[in-house]
Amino acid sequence: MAFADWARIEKTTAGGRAEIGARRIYILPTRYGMIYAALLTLMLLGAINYGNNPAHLLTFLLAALGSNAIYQTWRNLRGLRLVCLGAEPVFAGQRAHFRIDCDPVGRERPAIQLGFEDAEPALLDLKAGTADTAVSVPLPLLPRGLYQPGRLTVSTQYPVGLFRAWCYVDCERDVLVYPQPGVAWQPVGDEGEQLDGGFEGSGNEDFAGLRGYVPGDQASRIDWKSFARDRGLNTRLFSGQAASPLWIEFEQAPGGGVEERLSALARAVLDAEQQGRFYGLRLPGCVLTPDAGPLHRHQCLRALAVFGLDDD
Amino acid sequence: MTDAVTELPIQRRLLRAVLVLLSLLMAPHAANLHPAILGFFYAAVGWRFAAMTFPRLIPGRWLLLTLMIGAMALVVTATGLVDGRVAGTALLVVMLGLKLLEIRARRDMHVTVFLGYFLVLTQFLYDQSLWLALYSFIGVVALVGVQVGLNRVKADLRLQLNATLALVAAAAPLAIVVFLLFPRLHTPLWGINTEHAVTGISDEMSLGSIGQLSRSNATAFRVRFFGEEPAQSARYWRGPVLWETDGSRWTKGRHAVRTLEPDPGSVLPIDYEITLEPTGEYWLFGLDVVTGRPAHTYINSNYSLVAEQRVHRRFSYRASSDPGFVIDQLSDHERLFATQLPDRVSPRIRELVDAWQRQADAPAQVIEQALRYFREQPFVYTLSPGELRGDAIDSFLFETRRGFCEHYAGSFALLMRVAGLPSRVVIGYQGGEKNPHADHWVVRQSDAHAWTEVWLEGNGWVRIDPTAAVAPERIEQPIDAGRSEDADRVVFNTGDFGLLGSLWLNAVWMADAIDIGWYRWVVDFTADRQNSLLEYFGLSNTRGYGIAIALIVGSAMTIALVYLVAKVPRPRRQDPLPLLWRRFVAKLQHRGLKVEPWHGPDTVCAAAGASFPNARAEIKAINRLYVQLRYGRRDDRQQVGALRQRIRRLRL
Repeated sequence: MAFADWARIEKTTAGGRAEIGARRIYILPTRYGMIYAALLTLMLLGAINYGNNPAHLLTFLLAALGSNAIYQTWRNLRGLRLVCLGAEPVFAGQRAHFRIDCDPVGRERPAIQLGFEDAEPALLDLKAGTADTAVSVPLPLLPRGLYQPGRLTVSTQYPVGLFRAWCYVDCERDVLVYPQPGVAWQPVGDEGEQLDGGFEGSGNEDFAGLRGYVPGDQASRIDWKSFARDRGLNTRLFSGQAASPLWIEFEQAPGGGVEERLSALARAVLDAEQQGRFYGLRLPGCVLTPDAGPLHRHQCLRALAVFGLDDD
Repeated sequence: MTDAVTELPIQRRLLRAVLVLLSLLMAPHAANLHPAILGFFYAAVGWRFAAMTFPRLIPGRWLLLTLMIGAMALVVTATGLVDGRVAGTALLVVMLGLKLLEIRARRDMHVTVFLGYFLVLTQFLYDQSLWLALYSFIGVVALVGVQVGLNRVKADLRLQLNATLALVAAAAPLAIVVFLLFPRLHTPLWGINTEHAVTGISDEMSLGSIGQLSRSNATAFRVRFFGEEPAQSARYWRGPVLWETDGSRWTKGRHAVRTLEPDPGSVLPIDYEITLEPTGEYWLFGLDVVTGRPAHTYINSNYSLVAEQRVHRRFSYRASSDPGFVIDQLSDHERLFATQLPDRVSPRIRELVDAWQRQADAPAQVIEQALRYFREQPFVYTLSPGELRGDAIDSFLFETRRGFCEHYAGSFALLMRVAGLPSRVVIGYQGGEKNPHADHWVVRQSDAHAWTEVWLEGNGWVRIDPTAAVAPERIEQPIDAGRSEDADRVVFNTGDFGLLGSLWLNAVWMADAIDIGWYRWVVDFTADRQNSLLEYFGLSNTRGYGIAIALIVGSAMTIALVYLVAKVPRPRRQDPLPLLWRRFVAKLQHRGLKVEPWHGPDTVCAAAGASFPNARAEIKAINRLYVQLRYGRRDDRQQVGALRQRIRRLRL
């Protein structure tokens, strides 16, 4: 939007907070507003033509209503507080949703519309007395990479739909889009270790012992039985895991182009994680040592997502 | 996550509300439009209602097109396209019906609501009464409510109502100011709005015609006097003057009536404003005798006030009269007409008049004799005179002796003519009641009256009211039309109604006052009234800037009101403590102490104590007070003041 490039923007604070200021709100008539104005002109002409005073009064009442609507519409936005919380990472091809908490600050604010460019907006009534109403605002479909969501347009046409008041908010929060996972394939690990390696499917067979829970460990590996006996959280270890870290390597990935390879690698990371393997990722210029768990998975996928895009 | 949507939904209840609302708003048009047009609309409403349950009934494009062509044909045949206003209204009504059938999206709802506003406007072209305006106003507010509902995601009746009322309440003052200041055209508005004419007096009189009228309590006109109000017995409202008679019927006759030019004029005129209900006739009424005429009217040689055009809607005019004015002109031509007799005058009448003439020396004594006859013979003033057979006047004078004012006026004028005195009958109204809640008098159809004028050399035309001889109460008290109907004699309104009656009467007068207030300030707010209002506010020379003033004043008022309605919150008072702390820290920093933003009060205090040993005790005290206020019990204004003082006085 060319207009938005020089328009006044509401900036968010470090915590993602923003309050819509009175001077950052734009307002213009909608299509209905134009039709309404035309209708009023017609009514005024009729009133004058027939010298009909009740008709004059009706026309002026509706006109005053319209001018009052400018204020009411503006007021519906002014002072609204937002917290831009960010978006959960998604895979390319999936739609990311940006989470925003809205605080109507004391009064009802119906029909508040939040939307990013090129994406469907979210529209809702904010009730008085609800401090933080969470809204997930759809983002446009994006290829892999790390993004700033750009300008959020907060708008409203309430109460009568004759005017649209809007304002831009800069959401300085990252949106991560992982590569789209490709078809399944089998990475070739380090030879020696691969012999022991449990590619039999689950790799969970050889129970090797317990160790203390470390954040990031998979929930399925937690020894719930010992937890139930009040022995704290413990993670079960398996021989296959420790013995044979699986290396997922860029060079081995099938496919000709970089994107295809990244897709294949993403698939491999997902599979390895699902099989509970210990896996590492080796990309040109970036190595992630073998580990497991959601955090590791995220780091691997993130590395894939931003691969080759750093200089942007 | 809340249930956000991507688009505003179209709610069934809103559609239902629109259908009901438009049906109600259309109802007053029943009096104005061809039944077929109205039928088309209500059929469309019914269809749409049915389609809400059975969506398959929503017509497709081709069916709609067919319906539209049919609707056009209907408009052409039903209205004949004669009257632009009627044809336009009919067109709007059928289009609105078609639009209802077409509603699919929110956009259609919006357009429907807009057409609803226009529908209300068309009704004012037929009827400008306050009651219709109130009815329509409620309808318009409801339509605004629908519009508000259309722009919400979820319905909430209470909040919608609040928002609607806030919108309308803040809009009203601006609307009123613009209304008062918006320039009006200087043209008299005659015939465009045909209101339903009230049956009033006609320009002829037959026996029973005024009695018939007297049964109606409808308002004939309202009068507001500027200054002195004449007594009840002097309030003769002069209408047409009748010259020619066939014995029982009196008409204006064939003689030419001239226009008086210039107006007669008067030294001590009574000024008043009459608001006449539509009569559909040319003649107006004025206090006997009108000497100053309003614009767009003239005074004729009968001294009757006549309008340039038929009065098809309420018409206000300001005139002046002089009750003591003497009409002293009678041309030979007029004398001929004023002594015209019917083809046959009964011998009994001639004998009666001859007897009077024999006893009288002067014409005035003949009049006296005649009045005495009415007074002394058993005449009855009644609304049910019974049937008069044969020579009506003869049998009235000598047999039945029961009659209403037209009997007395007609027969008296005839008797005068038989006696050779020029005479004529004047019809109009007599009396009027003052509205206790307003400054105007109401003259009703039941006040319709007929009296005579007799030409006396040297005195001019003298008003003689024979009815007064029979029933002197008539010119003192209004007739009680309801009770007189079946009574033997006319019953007069004595002012005794009982409690309920008084309450009801009070309500009726109140309604009358409101109605005329509405008329005066809204319907009849002409350029003249606007100018006098502007003059009143000392803005007479700003006429051309009307719109500008309207907008400025109106906007200012709107903004003020909107702020009141919205109760804009003041910015919250800032907590003084962080401010004081920053001042304190700034003071320390100024003297070279290094304070980092993350340092807490105790850390700062310890560091300051070490750096400024002289002030250690004071710094400690400040710290203790600050910590106590900031983290302990709050809301201690005095302590905050003490802290401020200590920080200000701190010397390092």
